[in-house]
Amino acid sequence: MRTNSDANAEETVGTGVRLALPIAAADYVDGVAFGVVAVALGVGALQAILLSATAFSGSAQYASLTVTGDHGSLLAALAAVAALNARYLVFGASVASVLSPRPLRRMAEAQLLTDATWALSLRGGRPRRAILVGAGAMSWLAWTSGTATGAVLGSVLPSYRAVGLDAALPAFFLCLLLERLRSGRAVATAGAGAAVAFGLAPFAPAGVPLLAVLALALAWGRT
Amino acid sequence: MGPHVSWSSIAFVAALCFMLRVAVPLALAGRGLPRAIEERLDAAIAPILAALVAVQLFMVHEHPAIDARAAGACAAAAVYLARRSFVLALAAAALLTSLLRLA
Repeated sequence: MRTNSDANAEETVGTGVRLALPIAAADYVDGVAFGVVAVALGVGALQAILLSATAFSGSAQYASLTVTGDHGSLLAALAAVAALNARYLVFGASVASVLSPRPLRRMAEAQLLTDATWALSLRGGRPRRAILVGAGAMSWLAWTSGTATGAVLGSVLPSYRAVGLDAALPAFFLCLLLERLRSGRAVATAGAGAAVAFGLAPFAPAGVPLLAVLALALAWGRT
Repeated sequence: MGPHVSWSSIAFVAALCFMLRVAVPLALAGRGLPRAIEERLDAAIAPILAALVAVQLFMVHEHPAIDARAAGACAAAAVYLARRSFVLALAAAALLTSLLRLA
């Protein structure tokens, strides 16, 4: 399996960029899909692009497409966004110690957190800032430029499902998970996490299953 | 009825996403977390990754389902265990998934 020298070699931003390439490809295609959907629903192309650049969260952005003009629908969408992304509070906590000491840089680096970049940055055990920055920048560029492509070109693009890239992100999380399954305890907690998420997903609002798994894992977890 | 996404609602969504990401790193201001919390966070990574796989792979439009992506993900896992390359693994996932959809 992995050695310490492997882990130590993975310190540069370039490594983060390289590790994130396949994820960026999927992010780009996902971004195209969001751009197409948003514009088809009547959102301005510039609005869709800026939403991707700032919110940088597919699920939150789809939730914001449910806003219909009255304050109630905005509050409902914001509640959904909070439930979808509350896990970023915990992701932020887990990488906080390695981020830049300068507040502005610190915020910019934290803004690059996604499920995938967070998991990549923690791959060697300790969080790695260079990996988060390299992978996050790639992911952000791909997501935002993908949205621009989709918003502008729209319907002339081939179907997203045809190229099979919608399998990339779950496959990526599966690969990262396999790296982590080095102890009986990790296997057991992973199995429990999958079961809880799978059991809740048909009933709970999006985002809540992951939040529940995170809360349970933090409540019971010890290495 | 389409969405009516005003600039102010975009600003609210963006601000909320931003706050959720930066709040804790800013509040901690470079201090590390207590050791006990770090250990719990570390122990939470495997269950979170497993939950992400479960939700993303086996839920289709909010219903449990197995589709071509599951086979693609298995191919990715096999390639990854053999070659330790995300690029090869995810290319295998995309290729097998698209081929199964053609079949």
